[in-house]
Amino acid sequence: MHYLITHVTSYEYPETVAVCHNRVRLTPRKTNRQVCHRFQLEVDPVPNSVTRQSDYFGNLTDYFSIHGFDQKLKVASLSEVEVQPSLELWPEDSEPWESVRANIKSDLSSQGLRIFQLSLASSRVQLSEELREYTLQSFTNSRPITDAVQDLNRRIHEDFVFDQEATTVHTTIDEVFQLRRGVCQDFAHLAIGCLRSIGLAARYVSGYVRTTPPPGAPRLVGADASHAWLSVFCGKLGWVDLDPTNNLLSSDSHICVAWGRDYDDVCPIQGVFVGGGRHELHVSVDVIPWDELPLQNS
Amino acid sequence: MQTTTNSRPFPGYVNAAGSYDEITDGDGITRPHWLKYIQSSANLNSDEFSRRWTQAQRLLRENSLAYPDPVSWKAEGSPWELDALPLVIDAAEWQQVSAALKQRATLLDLLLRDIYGEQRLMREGVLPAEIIFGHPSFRLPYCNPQNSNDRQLHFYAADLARSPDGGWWIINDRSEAPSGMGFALQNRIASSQILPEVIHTCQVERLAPFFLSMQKQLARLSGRGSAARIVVWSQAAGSDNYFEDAFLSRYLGYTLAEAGDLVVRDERLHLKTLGGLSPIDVILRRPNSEDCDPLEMVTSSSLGIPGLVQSSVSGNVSIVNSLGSGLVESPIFMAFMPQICVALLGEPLAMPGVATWWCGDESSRKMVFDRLDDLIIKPAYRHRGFGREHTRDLSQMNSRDLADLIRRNPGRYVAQERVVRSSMPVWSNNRFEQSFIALRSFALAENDDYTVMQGALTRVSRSLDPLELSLLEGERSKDTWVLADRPVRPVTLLKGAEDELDIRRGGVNLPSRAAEHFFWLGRHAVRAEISGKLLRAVALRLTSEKDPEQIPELSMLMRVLAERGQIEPGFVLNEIRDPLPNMERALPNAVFADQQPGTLKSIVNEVVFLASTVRDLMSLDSWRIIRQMNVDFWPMGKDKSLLDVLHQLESLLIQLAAFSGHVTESMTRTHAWHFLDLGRRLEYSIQMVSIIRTAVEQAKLSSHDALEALLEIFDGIMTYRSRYLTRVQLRAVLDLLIQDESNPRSLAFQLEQCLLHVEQLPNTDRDEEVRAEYSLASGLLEQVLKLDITDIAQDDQPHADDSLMQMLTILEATLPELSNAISLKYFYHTDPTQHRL
Repeated sequence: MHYLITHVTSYEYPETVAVCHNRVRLTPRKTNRQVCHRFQLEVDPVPNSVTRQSDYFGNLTDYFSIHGFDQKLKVASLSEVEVQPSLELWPEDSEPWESVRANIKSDLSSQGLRIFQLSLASSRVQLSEELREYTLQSFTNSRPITDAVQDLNRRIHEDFVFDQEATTVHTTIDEVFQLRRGVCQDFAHLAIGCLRSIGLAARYVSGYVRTTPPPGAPRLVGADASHAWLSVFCGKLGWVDLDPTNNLLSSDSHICVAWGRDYDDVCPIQGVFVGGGRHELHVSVDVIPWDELPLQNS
Repeated sequence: MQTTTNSRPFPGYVNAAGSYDEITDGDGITRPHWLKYIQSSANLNSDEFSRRWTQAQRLLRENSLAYPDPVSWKAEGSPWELDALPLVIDAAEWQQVSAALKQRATLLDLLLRDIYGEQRLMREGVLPAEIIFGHPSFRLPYCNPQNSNDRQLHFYAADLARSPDGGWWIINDRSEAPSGMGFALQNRIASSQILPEVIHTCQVERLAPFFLSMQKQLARLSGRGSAARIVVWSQAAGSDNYFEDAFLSRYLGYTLAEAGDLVVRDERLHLKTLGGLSPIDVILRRPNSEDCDPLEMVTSSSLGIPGLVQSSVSGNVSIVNSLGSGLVESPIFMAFMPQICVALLGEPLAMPGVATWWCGDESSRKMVFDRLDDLIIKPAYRHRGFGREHTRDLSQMNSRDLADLIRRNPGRYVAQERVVRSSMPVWSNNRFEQSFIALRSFALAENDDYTVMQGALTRVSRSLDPLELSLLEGERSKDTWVLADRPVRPVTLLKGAEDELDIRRGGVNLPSRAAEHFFWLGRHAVRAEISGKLLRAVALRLTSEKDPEQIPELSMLMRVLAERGQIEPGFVLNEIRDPLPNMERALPNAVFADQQPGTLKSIVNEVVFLASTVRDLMSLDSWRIIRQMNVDFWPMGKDKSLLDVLHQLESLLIQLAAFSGHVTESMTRTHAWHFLDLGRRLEYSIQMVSIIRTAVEQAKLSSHDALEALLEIFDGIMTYRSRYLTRVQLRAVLDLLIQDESNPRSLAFQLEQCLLHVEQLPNTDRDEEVRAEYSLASGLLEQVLKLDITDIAQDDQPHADDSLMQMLTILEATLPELSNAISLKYFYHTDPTQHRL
């Protein structure tokens, strides 16, 4: 699929902002089934300079600062991305989950270390015995990993209620586990916590899902804002994307922007503002398939 | 005293069995390198020694670096009290120690480069990946492939202990922002005062060359040589290391800055000064790495300088030590150091670290469980400034609970061998007693190598508990004398006399925060003075022989006190008769209630705090007065009588007068002075306006006694009597207090001074008219001068529509505006709070 994505974040402040520093992760990253053909970042007011770097996980980041501006800041990004559908998973291609786990511990190559790093607790993903027990119900002896993973994905979708009021950005996964409610970010963290608690590696993925569903399909949850899901390392099959919020394996409806250990590593817009008072925030995201674009835009 | 090699030079001191004795060997023979010290100090008779030592102790207390918190200031003793007897180490031995410390610093630097760079040690299996990736201080923003090429560790400190066989062990590595150098230097200054001739005779290595190297190294890092712009970034005033930071920055000649003084613009670090933003090349970092940049350290607090990481990545500022350097302080690395040394340097450790086992390793864990009673269990990961309590709790657990705790989370704990540290005497209660010592020693990067301080901070404790635990009990320190094997040349940090200095005046580069603190120091000092005088006036009257009902001005004074929060408002509401006996009892408590804002004690605390934050910018004597004030102005016992309080008020007022006199005479007329005095003048005006207004509203100004009380509070009695003898009249009093510009306590005089100061402040606005603070200050003065005193009804009570009341009302509204205008223009940066998304 070929998409045009716009992501606009506007801040409104009651007073003049003395200075703000921002680091944004808005550029869809290159993956083995995704290419970003075009990316534009527009910031209003215009900063003196924007510095682009890639971070620890290879996500592209832009840093900018703005000094003294009146009350409004707008960060808009425009990306043109092409995504290939993922291959179908066949249980017979898949290793037993225990052997994946054993390899994660023993592989000391550079790549192996990165995978191992994603099997450990992180600041927003604390591990617990409760999570482990919950997870092991899906991860029975020698079960092919993709089977077990899809089963866990389905259970989280069934056991937990999507509820935008129940949690905040500060809710821990323990609390989510008790509440049995949350949003996509919570479910992604929870699933990551489940997988890591049994020694598997999982990473948090931030991105978008297409706004309008293909004919006949339901509209996906999380379409009007940034979305979050996860990837789990499945040994020879590599990384497999799961979306527990929608009970899906992510395919070409999902556009990946950045990945990391958890939300803190991939936060789309990080900022520190001096002055300004309490701000109001508006976010809008549009993910339009290329062939649905009005002609004059294409 | 006759000294022979086998006499006992330190009578009363007996070494505990089992530890190494620093002074005598197993046969009771004095070790040779101590002989010179013992001989030369024996020439001092003990009276002379005692006298000098007491003197040095007093100086240390007055200059002490170790009093972070004015509120707990009164706590017994200082944690770093100096012991009279130094530790003497001989040249050959110190050379070996130095070589080992250089190796250790080199090793830790390479280790940091590896962890934050190419991570070879994990790939080769030397370091389990879990201990790095699971380390709470391992943060991704510190990682950068470039790090493998750049030095990460510029300053290093090690805690050393000597085991019974005489060998030295490293018991702690300190790599985040090691403290203690300032204490070592201060101890040396003190011991040079006690024993100058002994230091000379013994040929003690000096400390100054180390600090000289430090200046050179930081200048080199800046790439700008002697034009380097360097700041010491301290944690906020009140933090543990603040005074040491202030002392060192002054000694080294760098600006002391806090996070609020520093700002990143266009990926460059700047110091905010009154003259504008001034770029910084090198920042000597004291806060923990994770408190350095709220933009990048998402999960930490909002402390730090947003954008600092970016400015460092862009190569625009050198951070010393590099961010993340504290990682390798964690005891867990001790367990792997022998292997790491072989892997990185291809050689064995020159000095062993204390034996350490990581419980995350199965075979180590088994061994630990077998020896749980002999070993010390510690958290594997250290977070600087935290965790002492945790270690103490662990030390008090029984072995079964401890084993359970470890089993639940084995990776989080290490076990360490107990080190029986060496012992030597301390001078305590007029006799020598036994104590155990550990050395904090320092290394500093110099070109491609490290240089080691020829001296150290010797820490003394009574027990053999781990160092971080014995620290909790409060400990002493000793100067450490490394003997040179050749005559010692004097070195000074002062620039060579041959270099011609550019003549400089003024001081535009005063940090804005310092300016703000001077301003508020001035305001609080005056607030304390006026409050003190009001309280004294009340206390004097209550302790007089007169019946309180016969003292007509008392109700006015109490109303003024109540309006300031000095006493409970209730005392004023029920008229005089009933509450007065209570007042006598309540006043002493009201004075010292430091939790309530507005009380005299809380104002004095504020004065002390503000002075401590700008201590590096004021004279030592001014600081001593403040320090003494804080020591003296504490409640005495439970049953304070009014007379006790009166006595304390008197000495507080004398100290405040001494402080204001001293700063007036000693401060150069730079911006710091203008802000301090502006604060004083402004506060005096505010106080005066409000007190006179209360007096007018109370309709007491017709009373002879009330007028006299006003004269008393505003220092006017003597002048008034010389002019009018004993006839007290409203107009004459108001002329003296409000309009007489020759009276330095008059309102007109204060406002004139305000205007003069405002004119001297740095100003970039071209158009004079836009200077809000200037037009406010001149408007205020005009209001006062245009008042026609003869308009005021002489014996009648002034009315609200009087010209006097009108003027007071205008002033009451305009004076705070002037204060705000100054804050907005000059301190604005320090005010707004940071928000995080």
